[in-house]
Amino acid sequence: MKTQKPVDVSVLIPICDADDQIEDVFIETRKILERNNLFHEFIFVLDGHFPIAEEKLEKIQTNNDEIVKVIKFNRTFGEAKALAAAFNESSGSLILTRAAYFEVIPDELQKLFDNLTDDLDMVFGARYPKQDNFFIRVQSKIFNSVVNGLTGESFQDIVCSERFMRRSVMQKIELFGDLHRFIPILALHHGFNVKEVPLQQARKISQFRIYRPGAYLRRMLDIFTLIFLIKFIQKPLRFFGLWGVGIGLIGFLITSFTVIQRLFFDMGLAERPLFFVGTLLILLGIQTFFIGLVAEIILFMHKPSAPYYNIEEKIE
Amino acid sequence: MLTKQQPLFDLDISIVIPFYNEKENIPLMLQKVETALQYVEGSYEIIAVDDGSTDETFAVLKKAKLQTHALRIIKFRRNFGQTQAMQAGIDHARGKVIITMDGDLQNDPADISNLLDKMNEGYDVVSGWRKNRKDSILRVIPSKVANLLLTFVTGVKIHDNGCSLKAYNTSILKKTRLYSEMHRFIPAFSYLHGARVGEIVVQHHPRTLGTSKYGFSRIWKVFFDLFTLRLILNFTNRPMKWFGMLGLFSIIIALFIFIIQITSVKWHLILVWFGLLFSLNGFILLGYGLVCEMAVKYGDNKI
Repeated sequence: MKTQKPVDVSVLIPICDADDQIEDVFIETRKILERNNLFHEFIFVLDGHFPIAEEKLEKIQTNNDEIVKVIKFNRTFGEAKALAAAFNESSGSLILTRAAYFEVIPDELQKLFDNLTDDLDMVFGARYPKQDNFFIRVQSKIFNSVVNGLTGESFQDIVCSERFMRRSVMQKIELFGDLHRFIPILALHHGFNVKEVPLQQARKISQFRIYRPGAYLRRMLDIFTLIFLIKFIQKPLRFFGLWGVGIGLIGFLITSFTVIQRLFFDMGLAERPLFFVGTLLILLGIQTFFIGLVAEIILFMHKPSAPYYNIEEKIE
Repeated sequence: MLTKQQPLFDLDISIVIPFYNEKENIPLMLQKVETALQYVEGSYEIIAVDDGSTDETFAVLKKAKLQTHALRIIKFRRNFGQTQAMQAGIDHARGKVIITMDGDLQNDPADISNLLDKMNEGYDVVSGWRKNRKDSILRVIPSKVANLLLTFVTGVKIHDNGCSLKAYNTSILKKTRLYSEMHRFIPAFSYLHGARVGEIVVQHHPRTLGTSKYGFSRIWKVFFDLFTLRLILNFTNRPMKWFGMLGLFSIIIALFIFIIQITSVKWHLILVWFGLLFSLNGFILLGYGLVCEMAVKYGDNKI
């Protein structure tokens, strides 16, 4: 360690898209941190090969050697892994995550600092009012309401990258895949207190972004993973078993229905698509059940390194 | 957080009590425990786990700490359930013997010394048996059925697995990690590990203060957990045997169907269809068997 003074805030900035505002983000963030007298460090993660961004970071680093770290992935691992890697390198008691471009107006960051009161463990930004075009607004609205509906929360903008939290939050959350989108919900699940703060969105966003269909499918899978992680990871057989039995039962009813028709009303089975659907559903039900059992066995055999519970305070 | 370096078991007894919204019961409870422990030889600690209470449980515990020096308090960030609370207590325990009990005063701390006496006879786990249970019949009967089933499933002969008042040899508890709602099954697990499991009759009092935290929804969960336990125990022992047998059975049926089909003159669509379904089912089950073999081989929770 070059500095003796403990770091107050570690700023984690994953660079997942080639973007041209890195320097500005750095300067503006630093300005606000200094205004608040917070001793800070910056950790940039290049998630893949971004030559222009790399060059800029080098420049930033040579000018501010003591407070800037750069991590370079040799291929794309995703934002979640980038954040996790950055966190591993960090030492601040508070963690600030930011996008590599201006998601919100620079000065709005102050609101995050002001809102992290003693009883809270994490605050994160909701971009409001939204400056995006209609299409993006609609798809983000749908995403948020699906997540809210399934988790029982009522957040406006879960995916916003502007998050400010205590170190213990990031320590408890294991980030992989695309789970970075759901950090606030994972934090809540571990028992932390989370608050959403509306921040004014930057007007900059010029590019019109429509994702490829694959992206939408992945979002759906992300949500599915999240629900499984927070609701059923401790009891997979309850989840899969219930579905398996349900599906199997429906299949059984359909099959019986067609078989009875075959026996008493002389309707040939071979011409009945319904019969094939029914039998397939039985198979699906059985398989779903056994997937649950496999999951349960893996869970049973695995001794996790960290406990599931989360301790707030210990008095010895 | 679990500390990397486990402290040595430098005490004789650790009492682990989970509290969830029990502010009314705490002072009397702790007082009774301390009184009971005065008649017991050896050093002790009391680990109170506040399982994310929404009332003043934590404040009351902190106040109690001023009088009861042996008290250690662990506060959860949210309600994680009784199993996790027990696990936290076990993880932090420094005693050679761990005694768990409910924080609702339905268990009588006076039974602690009896438990310890029984432990001294050479048992690894001693379970309490609420012979005269003071709960409504609607709770007692399903519990009786569940206990009979558990005896049937694991062979452990304990009358009352649901009773929280139990004593354990610490080294046995530190081996396994509890998940879901498995704390009820610790004696059964220990028995399967080869531990000596005994029981004694303990007193049981009706609840006087606070409200019961057990809903009726729990009962079906217990039955389901039992069923899961049986499956896990069978399948982890030799996964390929069970999955493999099921899979092969399915494949044999499929082969049988295909042989009939080949030897017959006329194509029968339904028969072919069933042959396909059975073979598909069989091969997938074989695959699951292999995956579970891997899980067991590389798993670190050895049984």
